[in-house]
Amino acid sequence: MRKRRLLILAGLLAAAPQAFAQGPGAGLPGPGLARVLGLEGMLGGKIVQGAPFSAQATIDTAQTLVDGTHINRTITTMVYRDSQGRVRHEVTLSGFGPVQVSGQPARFVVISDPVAGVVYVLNPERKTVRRMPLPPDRGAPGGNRGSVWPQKPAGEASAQTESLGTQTISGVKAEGTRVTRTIPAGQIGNDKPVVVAVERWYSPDLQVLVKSTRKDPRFGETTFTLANIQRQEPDAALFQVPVDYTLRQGGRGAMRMRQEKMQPPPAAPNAPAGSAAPSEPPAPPSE
Amino acid sequence: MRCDEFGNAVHDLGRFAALDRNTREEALAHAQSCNRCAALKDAVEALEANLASLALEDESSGPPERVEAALRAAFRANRPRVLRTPWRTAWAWSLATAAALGIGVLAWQEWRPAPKGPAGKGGAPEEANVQPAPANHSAPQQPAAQAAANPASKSVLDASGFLPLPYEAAPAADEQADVVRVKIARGSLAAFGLPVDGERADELIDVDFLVGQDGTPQAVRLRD
Repeated sequence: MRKRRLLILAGLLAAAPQAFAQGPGAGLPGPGLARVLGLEGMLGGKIVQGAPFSAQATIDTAQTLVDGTHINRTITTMVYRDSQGRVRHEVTLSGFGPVQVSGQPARFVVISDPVAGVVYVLNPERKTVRRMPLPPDRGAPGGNRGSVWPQKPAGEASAQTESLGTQTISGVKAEGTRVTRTIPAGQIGNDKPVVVAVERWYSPDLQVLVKSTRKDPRFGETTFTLANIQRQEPDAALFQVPVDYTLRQGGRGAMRMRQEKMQPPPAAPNAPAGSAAPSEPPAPPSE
Repeated sequence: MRCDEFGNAVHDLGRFAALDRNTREEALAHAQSCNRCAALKDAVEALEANLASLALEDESSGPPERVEAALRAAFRANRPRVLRTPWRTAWAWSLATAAALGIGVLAWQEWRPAPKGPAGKGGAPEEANVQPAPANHSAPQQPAAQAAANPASKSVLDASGFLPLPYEAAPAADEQADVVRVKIARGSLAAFGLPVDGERADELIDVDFLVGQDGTPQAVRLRD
């Protein structure tokens, strides 16, 4: 009997790491790699009503490794906002600064609906959607979720902020700001000061960030740009969850999780005639 | 309870082992009398609940049915035998208690927070492990006094549990961000300028990154 128990235990020990570690298309992350487990959409930001738009968001990253290797990546996604303040943005994750995502980039679609007070996170690959309540302090137009931002240390006074004036970017007027942080020599083992500069161009009209550039010698250069900005009302179906998605909704802890199929959405007041929730998820963003 | 104390406790409200009863009751009472903290509590609960649900995103992460069946069978097969030999149970409990105490002591030594300096808030295990430090991976961790003198070491863990990454620009108030949960080797945190215990560098951990619109991480939170 003891031998049998030992065999069972050995079998369980051998099987457990594989059983808990395996995931579709991705194994355990190695050094400098990350495996994306999921996404909780949209913290911060404002609820902006009466300023609809759609745009193409492009993130360019350029890094030069210590051996001289250059890494350049471009991720293009779409962003939509309707006049009611609902926002749909696509997320493609291929890395986090110095850490890269193992395997294929992870893709999600986030729909923030302040009208219904919910946020949806869609997984186009699995055709699943998670629904979560919009935090209460973001429930009113102009409100934001500033309370959840990490507070920057009060002693980190080396940051300098300067205005860059006004420019027209992608057809909209934007106000620029540059924040420069200097890591003094010796602070992180550096033999000379390291300068990290972030430029932000914000459109007061659209109330959205239209461009940002981050130059950090530690991680490279990252540029975010909104292009092809169209100020028409987007298709209402873009802010609804396709009916063939499976809703996963849970309370605290996985044991209370339940699943259900999405119900067809009610006709939106501003939906174009004949429009319906798309039967397929949006085309995955190109990389 | 004050608002700042509530901010420190709000993330433990859902973890019954992490807060004593009095603190929990004080926190809940404070949330009833303070609209701002009540909103914060709701936001944190929503965030926690939905991040917890991420575990089911990966359906294949669960143990295969045959493993679960074998485990149940093993428990069923052994249970009567254990009951018939109480001295074995006593020994088993003694050994388990000793092992748990040993693990607890080791864990405490590993995870205890640094002595409180001007920047110290103490308490959260994340704070003990993720205080900003030089990005020099091979350098030993700073003494507490030196760390306190480092402006980056004065990072503040706010109620959301996120720790700003060293020298990362804080997001603008009107900028949105996403919380992304990833599994990484603990050693990878060193690339962000966070201190890492070299002996545990290969250990896989779950962390949440606060990712800005430009895709760059701005803050990190270790998961339990």
